[in-house]
Amino acid sequence: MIKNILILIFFFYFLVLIQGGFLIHFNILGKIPNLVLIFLFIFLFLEEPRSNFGFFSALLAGFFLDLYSGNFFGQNILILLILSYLLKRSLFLVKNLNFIWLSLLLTSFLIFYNLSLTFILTFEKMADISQFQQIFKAGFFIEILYNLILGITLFYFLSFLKKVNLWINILKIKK
Amino acid sequence: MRLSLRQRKVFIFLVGLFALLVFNLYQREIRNFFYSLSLPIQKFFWQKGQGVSNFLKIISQIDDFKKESEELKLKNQEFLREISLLRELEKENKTLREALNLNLEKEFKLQIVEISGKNLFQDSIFIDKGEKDGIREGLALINQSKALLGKVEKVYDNYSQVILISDPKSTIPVKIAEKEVEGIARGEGNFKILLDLIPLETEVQIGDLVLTSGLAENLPKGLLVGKIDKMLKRDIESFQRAEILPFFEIENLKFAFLILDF
Repeated sequence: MIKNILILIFFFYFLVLIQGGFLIHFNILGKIPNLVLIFLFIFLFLEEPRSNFGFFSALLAGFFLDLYSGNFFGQNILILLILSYLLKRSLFLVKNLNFIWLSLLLTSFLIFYNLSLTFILTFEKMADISQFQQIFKAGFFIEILYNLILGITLFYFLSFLKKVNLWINILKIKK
Repeated sequence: MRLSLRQRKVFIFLVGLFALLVFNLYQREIRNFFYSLSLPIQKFFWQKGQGVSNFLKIISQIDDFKKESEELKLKNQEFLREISLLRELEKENKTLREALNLNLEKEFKLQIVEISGKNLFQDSIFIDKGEKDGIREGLALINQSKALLGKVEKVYDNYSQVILISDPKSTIPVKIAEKEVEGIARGEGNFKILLDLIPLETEVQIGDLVLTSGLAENLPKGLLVGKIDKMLKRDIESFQRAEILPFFEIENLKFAFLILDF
């Protein structure tokens, strides 16, 4: 258990560093993918429905995003915990999880995250409401699309790895 | 003493709330600890990212390189002719340079810094010098071509956060070169800058240079901000606006200079 928690801490820590150091060189119109958010979504999507490990991942992801955002601690944690709860509730309702549901849920996850964060930042800085309207410019949709493509690719890659691992285990048992 | 599930939930909630309070009270220390720890790792990722990005750019530009190669051959002949002319000018230039002594380090007191990462949600970057190196808030960051990158926003022990001129929080008093027209360069986010408050009667052209006017604290006069990229003229507005193309590309930045004194 402690080993898993430590792995998760280092994993999200490195994701944030990769996001701020490596991915910045692959920006499209200044937008970079939010790797932390994508992996959190995949964890929540792939974990057992009754497991609470996803919430712990949300806590860690939020903490590291807050740490490297330069803003107050708590805003990303709060948003990601709420989003994780909503996603898990949605996963209970959806019977057949296919590509369409994956895309829809990931898009909603990304949109709600961006809207909530912009709302909190606007409120926090007492900024003009026009700052909030800025979000609906082209950059917003590029960011969502960029994250969506990377998210789906990573999801299928990780699902493939999971299947391969499963087959290896089956073969080992047969031997 | 065994706690019920409800009591346990309340206990976890209170511990979380307390932890958040502590994190916010000691955020400077916590951030300094994590940033100091991650500075070498982030530098490593930054360099690798630059390497991979440059490599991919080269691959995608192979066809362009072939065309360019042909064009360059033609230009090469042209340049050979110019070289002989320039050699003459070089002699003249050398004499002038010696007379004017136009060196950056003589104009300003500078501190060289290395860029180690970018803030995830803003147009701001991290540099590897902090309070221990005598860095203070508000100092201007420039590149080797005297182009303004931004100003130091937060100073920690071993590193600092620099807000780029393209960040929405940045507003700089500027002037258009050779026209003596003043305006405000305002960051728009995503590495975009807007030049605002230019009088309607002023004729601004694409390509005009925008420089700092010297009216802001810690910002010397004459630093390059960018060049006019697109005019945004509207009849209903009392001022003209224009998009400025900055003189730096975040991807290619590695070293920069802080102006300590001028």
